[in-house]
Amino acid sequence: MRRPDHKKSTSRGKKTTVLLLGAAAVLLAMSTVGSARAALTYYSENYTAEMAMYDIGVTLVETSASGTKDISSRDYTGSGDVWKETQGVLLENMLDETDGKLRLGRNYKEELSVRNSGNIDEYVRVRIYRYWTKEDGAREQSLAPDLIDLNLTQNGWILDENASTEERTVLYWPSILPVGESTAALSDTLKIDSSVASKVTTETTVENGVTKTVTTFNYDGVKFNLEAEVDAVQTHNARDAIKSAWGVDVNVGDDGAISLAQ
Amino acid sequence: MKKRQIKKRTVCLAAAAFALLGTAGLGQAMGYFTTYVTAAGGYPVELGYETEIEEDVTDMTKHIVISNTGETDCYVRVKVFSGSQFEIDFSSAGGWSLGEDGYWYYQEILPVGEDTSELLAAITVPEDYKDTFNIVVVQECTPVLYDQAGQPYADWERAADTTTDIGTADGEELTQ
Repeated sequence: MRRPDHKKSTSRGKKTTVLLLGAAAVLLAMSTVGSARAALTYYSENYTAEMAMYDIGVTLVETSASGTKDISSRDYTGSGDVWKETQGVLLENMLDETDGKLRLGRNYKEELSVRNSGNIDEYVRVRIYRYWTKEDGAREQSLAPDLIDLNLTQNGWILDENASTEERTVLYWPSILPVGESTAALSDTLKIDSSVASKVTTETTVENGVTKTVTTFNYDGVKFNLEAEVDAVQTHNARDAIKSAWGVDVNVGDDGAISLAQ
Repeated sequence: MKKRQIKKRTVCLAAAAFALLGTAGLGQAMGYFTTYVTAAGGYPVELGYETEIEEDVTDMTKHIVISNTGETDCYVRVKVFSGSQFEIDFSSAGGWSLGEDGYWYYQEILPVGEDTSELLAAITVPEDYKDTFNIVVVQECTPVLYDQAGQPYADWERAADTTTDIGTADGEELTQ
């Protein structure tokens, strides 16, 4: 009598195992359904149209005294990993207003803004770097980045003080930047502080009864540098997307406006 | 014993199924649309200010001319030092003006490679003076600075100077 019971129990166990295997197989199969459906609709007209809507793009725009021009852009073309890119140079026309000569202390017009050149709305941020380099290209650490005075308009841009340093300034455009629209200018003028000319070394020599003092400017030939890095990210699932792409926590309002989470 | 094995297998299978389900959505979660652009620019700051003074002395009159031999435009000024017994009369063809501090200021920006107009310093030596004497001319230059509106100015508080100490007037020893 005990033997049949034992057999029954074993067969029930096998049955459970088979059922569980079946369930696991079904779950596995279902987990790929999304992709399979995407693959099936990939060839449909609807899907093709949808892909065209997801082309993200961004352009850095500069306005100097000589006019406004697109500096650099990077727009997704909608196929594969192909991007339409342009790479320009900042401040190329800066000295046009002073006959090609840099004038210390003068305010040069320098308006930087960002345009959404893609096909989807996006959030943008800009990181500005200011620094000095010597004639051999090495960093000049003894000159303060503040002497490269890019005047921020604070025209709607959020300054991330925690992420900013003396050399780096991090700014967020708080609103969704719609397709084809531009932000307000984040800066309006650029000035190279004239105190860069105040650091001198003097050497005095006496020859044939003539005393000659030669003054050498310590920073003759140093180059000031301005760099801008613009980042854009999708607005869908904004909080996670921004955290993933930029590594910062933000609060997203009902109107889509973002603010930095403290 | 077998029951235990079955339970263990069941738990493993269930865990595997959940793990697979969990990772199934990972690809989508990582795939945010992002893009970026960069640009950079800058210019060297040229501070190669250098001037030279030229002093011809004729008939006890110094003809002072300053040349900009540097790489950038600058402002220049001149001061003449002498003993109190010597009288010096200044004159120029224009461009120079005497400041309250005793310096003669050249009013215009001195462009690279150009000279100032002449500043004449006529020295009157007392008739009874027989010793050698020094007339010292100091010339200084300073960078052309600009205010925010772009108007040029000189800040002599940060003057960079080259000084010439002329010995006897043209090396002549005066005799009566």
